[in-house]
Amino acid sequence: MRNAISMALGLAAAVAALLVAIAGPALAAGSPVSVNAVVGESVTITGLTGTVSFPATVPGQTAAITGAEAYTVGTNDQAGYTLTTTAGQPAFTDGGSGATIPDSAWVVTETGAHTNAYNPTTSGFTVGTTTGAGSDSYSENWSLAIPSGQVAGSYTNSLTYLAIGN
Amino acid sequence: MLTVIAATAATAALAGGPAFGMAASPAAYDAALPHHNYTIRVTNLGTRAERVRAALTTATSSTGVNGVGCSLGRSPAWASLAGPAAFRLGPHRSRTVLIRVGSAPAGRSELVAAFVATRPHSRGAVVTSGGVGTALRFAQPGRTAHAGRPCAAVAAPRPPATSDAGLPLEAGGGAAALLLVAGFIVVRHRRRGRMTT
Repeated sequence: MRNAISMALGLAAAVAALLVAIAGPALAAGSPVSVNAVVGESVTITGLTGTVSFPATVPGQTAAITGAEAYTVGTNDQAGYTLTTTAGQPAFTDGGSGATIPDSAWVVTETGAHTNAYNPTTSGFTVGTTTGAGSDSYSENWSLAIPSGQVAGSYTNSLTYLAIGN
Repeated sequence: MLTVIAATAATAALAGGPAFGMAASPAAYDAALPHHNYTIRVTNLGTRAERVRAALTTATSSTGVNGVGCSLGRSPAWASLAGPAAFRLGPHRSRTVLIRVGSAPAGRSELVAAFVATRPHSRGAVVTSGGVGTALRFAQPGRTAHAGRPCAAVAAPRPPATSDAGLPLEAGGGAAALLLVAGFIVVRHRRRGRMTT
């Protein structure tokens, strides 16, 4: 019985020694473990208010809003993004009378990441193009020159902001 | 080899900040191939549900810095969106959209998939809405895919609907169906009552 136990202990010790011998060199050499990390890319736009209302203005005067829109566009794409704005209609329209104010009377002045001023159109305007990852804050002042003799009413239009990865 | 996949958005919606936010991932497929399918994940980063219109278009020309290379609504015959062209996306929810690409014709090396939130009309105001898009650029021998091409998004605001008062159109339809069923049951119950008395 004692011999059997001794033999078993001896065998176990031999196996353990063999395992250490096999594993030892690899651990000692510090074999590298490859680790890959894949980060998905995306493009985002946040912060648009949804509705902007010009103050009531008499014909011949200009309605203006400071900080009409403030929003952020960003991407982690190394090629950056392109931001465009597009007017929904070629003119502001009063639903009651059908009277219009052309988009040429509408000026959007960018004061944030990209500074420029433009008349929104239905064919689109490129507000900014970036060439690297990052996010930019945009801020806009709007104005609408009300033509003389303009019919009183509630005039409506829309503006769509579209950010596309480059 | 150990592979760790960690997908992250470029920016997150600010806590307690703006109600509107959308994201598209990936931002671009720079080496897209004909006869392949591509997935785009659209996420509503905002705090309210959005009605999203999906559109495919090609970039056909470059007309300068402020020129317009593409216009939504001109979907090419050689690519299509799997699924509805418009869908509702709840706050902080995502949806995966599949793009099926056929034979990209020579001379049209770029396809844009855009997702624009459509907002209801608001009388006497300017309705502003945002969208995000992913560009698929096809590697063609002898051609350089254009980067940074502008794209016009013509997204007419939708008319006021029941959903704008907080009840989604889908929920409204469901409620109407439930009312019809309930009405039918009540009528039938009454008739049975009359027959038994």
